[in-house]
Amino acid sequence: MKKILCVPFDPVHDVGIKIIKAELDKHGHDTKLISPDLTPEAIVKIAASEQYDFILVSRTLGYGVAELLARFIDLLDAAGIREKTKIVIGGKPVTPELAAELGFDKGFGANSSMEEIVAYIEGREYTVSHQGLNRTKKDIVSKYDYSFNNPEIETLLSSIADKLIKWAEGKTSPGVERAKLREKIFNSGSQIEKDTLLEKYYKLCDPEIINANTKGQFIKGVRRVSEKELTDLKTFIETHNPVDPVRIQHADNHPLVFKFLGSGCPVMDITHAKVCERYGIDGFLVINPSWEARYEGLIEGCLTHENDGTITSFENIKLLRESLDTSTLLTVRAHRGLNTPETTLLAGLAGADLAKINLVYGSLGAGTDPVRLAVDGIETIKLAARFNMPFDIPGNDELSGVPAWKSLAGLLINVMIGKKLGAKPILKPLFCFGPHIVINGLMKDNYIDYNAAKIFALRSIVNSPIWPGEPIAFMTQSEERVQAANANSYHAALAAGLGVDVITVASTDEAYSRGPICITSRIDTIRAITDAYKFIGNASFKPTPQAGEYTKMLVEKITGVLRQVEAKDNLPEAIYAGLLGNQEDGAYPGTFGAGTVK
Amino acid sequence: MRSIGIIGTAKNTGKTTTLSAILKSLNNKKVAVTGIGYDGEEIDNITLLPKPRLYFDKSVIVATAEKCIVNSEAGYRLIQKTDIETSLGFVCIAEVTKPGLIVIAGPNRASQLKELITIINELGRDYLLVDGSLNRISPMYLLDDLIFTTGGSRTTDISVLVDEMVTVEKIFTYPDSGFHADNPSRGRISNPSGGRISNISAISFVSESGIVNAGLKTFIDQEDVKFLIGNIPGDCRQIVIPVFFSEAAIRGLMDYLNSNKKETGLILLSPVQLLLSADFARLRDFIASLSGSSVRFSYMFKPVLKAITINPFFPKLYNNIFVADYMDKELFLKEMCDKLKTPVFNVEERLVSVS
Repeated sequence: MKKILCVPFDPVHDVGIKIIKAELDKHGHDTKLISPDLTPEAIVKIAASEQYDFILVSRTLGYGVAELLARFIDLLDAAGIREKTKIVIGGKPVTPELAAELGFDKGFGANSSMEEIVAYIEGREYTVSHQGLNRTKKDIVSKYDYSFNNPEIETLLSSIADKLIKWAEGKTSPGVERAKLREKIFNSGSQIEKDTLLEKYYKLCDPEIINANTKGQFIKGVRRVSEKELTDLKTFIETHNPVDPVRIQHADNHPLVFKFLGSGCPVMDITHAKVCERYGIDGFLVINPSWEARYEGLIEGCLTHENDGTITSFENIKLLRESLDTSTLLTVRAHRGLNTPETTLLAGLAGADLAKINLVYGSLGAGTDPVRLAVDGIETIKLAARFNMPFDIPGNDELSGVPAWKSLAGLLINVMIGKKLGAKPILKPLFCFGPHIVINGLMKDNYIDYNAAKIFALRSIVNSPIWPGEPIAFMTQSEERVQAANANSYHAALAAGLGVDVITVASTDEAYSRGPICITSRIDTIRAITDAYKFIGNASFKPTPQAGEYTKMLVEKITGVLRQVEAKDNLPEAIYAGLLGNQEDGAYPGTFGAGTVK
Repeated sequence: MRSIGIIGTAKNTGKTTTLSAILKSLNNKKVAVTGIGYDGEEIDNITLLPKPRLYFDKSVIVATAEKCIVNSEAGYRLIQKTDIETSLGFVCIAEVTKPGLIVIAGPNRASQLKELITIINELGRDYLLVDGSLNRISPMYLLDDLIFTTGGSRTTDISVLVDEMVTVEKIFTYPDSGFHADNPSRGRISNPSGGRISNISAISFVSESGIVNAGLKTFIDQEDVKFLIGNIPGDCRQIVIPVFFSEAAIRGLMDYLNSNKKETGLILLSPVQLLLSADFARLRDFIASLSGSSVRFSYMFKPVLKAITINPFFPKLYNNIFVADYMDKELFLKEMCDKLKTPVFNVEERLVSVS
């Protein structure tokens, strides 16, 4: 049993010391709490009157307070009390450095646990119990069977998917062929065979890719990551185990939280990712450069890029995967562009956990020819199924101005294709303040009803995992970081209350960084969401009756869209016809890769 | 070995800059450096403003916490890991082998500093420089020389700053009692009345018949005064107060001694302890009240007030963040030099020369 004097060195903020006293009492220690309005001299007299093992001082800090505390320490020293008594400071901003500067033997701050304080008092060595993340990888899809609750929609989707799969039979593209060659190269044990296959591969590539891979003439802003950079990164990871990691989810059923990676530099991505992991982020989505989607072929090697988007080479994905904690999920974007199958193949070979595919949005909002993406997309979904990688289906076409029902119809088409090809799709409706919503006043009263209605509508149709994105709170963030963090936290709380599986969140400077986003802005939204989850717990927001109206409207309009799509011979034809988003909506069928399907 | 301590009247009054200046002036001497507590950080822990940092040349010996030495930018050779514990780990003694920045986090109480002085002394150093932390002063009584730093960070009122340093100067004018406890930096000095006084650590009466413990742990309030007065032996010549006392208690004791016309000596541990007993304004009034008193003050430990350095910088709160601002440096220096006998330097403009 230790004899402890508890000193509230602050006339107002003495809650912390009272809680600590109660905890120490529970552990059988002899504590004495003194009045909060005593002079330092009076406290010294009390401290000298008996032999205390510890004096715990609690104080908030401001300018001038440090000098008061330092003088107090001097008085205790001059009174000879320090020789036998440890003097400890506690307060929200206290760090070991500040405690040392003030002259205390020990300091406990906002991040100190009660367990740590008690261990110190009892002279037990306190080992941070959470060195490393100590968590297991989460499964997003296994509890869903993809059964349909809406027979008409199921029938329509089944027909659309069957027609597409049949249409695609026997068709191929340079993207599909490159993926096949790449897999053969990967599996070949013979250098001669590899070289021959590579020669064939380059015949299907654009000159920029061939020059980069064979002559080291990279696209502007691209260079190889140096050996020193890789060694330094390895050392950083090996020597910086996450200490005292934070868990974002307050309840076990709270949605997992994903962040984007795509600074252009894999080293910066990994550095950010390691910090985010410590703050509880469950997974990352790797976003590639927009130009990577426009060239036929992929650049090889560990590469950095001085612009938005991290190159999704095998080596880069592998580096990311190996640098992340084994419990952290990794998704690689492949929903658009001319390298969709190969990117998913490389992601699978490098150990990524999920893929990201949307045959509709990839054609409408991201510039790939619908025919090409349909052929490539089917091959990609097959690869995802083979590598047992669930794939998420981003509904970001809403941001172009496409109405939610068209976007959701597109997601459902992908779900059915995925189901038929043996893959595990994940619906990704937007939680956003998109153009169609703004123009039509759908969120005029609140941001809850329409977002909730999307979830209610999808749930009424299919039993599938749902992952609002991408990111949540899109178009609701301002340049002010507190506002942006708040906007994210409200949307996250809504998502938690709706019981969805995952959310993707941005940083508070995502739209305003004017360059790479900063790590502090990433932490802003993570911490805001951690608090939001704690706030909402197992409660939820109550939508107004309007949400029910919106749900009914969405299901009806989705059905209407699918009827129109089903009436067409195949999905690309429906996309060209604007049934899933037209020029009036702000969506245009892409042209990259047009005429390349054979 | 000569030990020199830098004492600040507040945060950001120029302790580190003063120490850096002294280090430069001693570049051909064998120097060791430590600090009371922790200093040398890049950013002020409270204002978040950038702070000057300590840069060490080759062959300087530093005594700092293990965490600081391991993470230092300078190259070093570990000489010894002491058992002096700080909140940043045990204090290590190391020689700088490659110049660079080192954060100093040394002993934080008197007994630890005493132990460190012994260690450094044995290493054959010419000088030990001790950086203060904040306004910490208590352990500094063990040192030979003290330099005070003051400036806009304490107050921007020049007359107050001058007045405070005048008080400090006066406090350092009382004599050495010649009645020392062990002082490792000076060697042992015996009690002139015969026999060595070793570590008087309690309030005591010195009379013809010997030294008697007064039975008080502190000397703080009127209750303590009453107790002490009630126990003073009739033949008491001196009262030794080597522990913490308040100015109010000393004043109460003096009132009694003066009213009873007792010519008793009061031996305090050091001027540092007197400085700790009250704020500057009360101390100024207290010193003034001593004229005509029958009580003679002296100290068991009497460091030399070597210099005063001034720093016109102060952190100003602007839109809820601290920004750097500066006082009128010429006026500040002139007022200080006019009123003080102790050498005064504007630390950012002149090297402090140690001799």
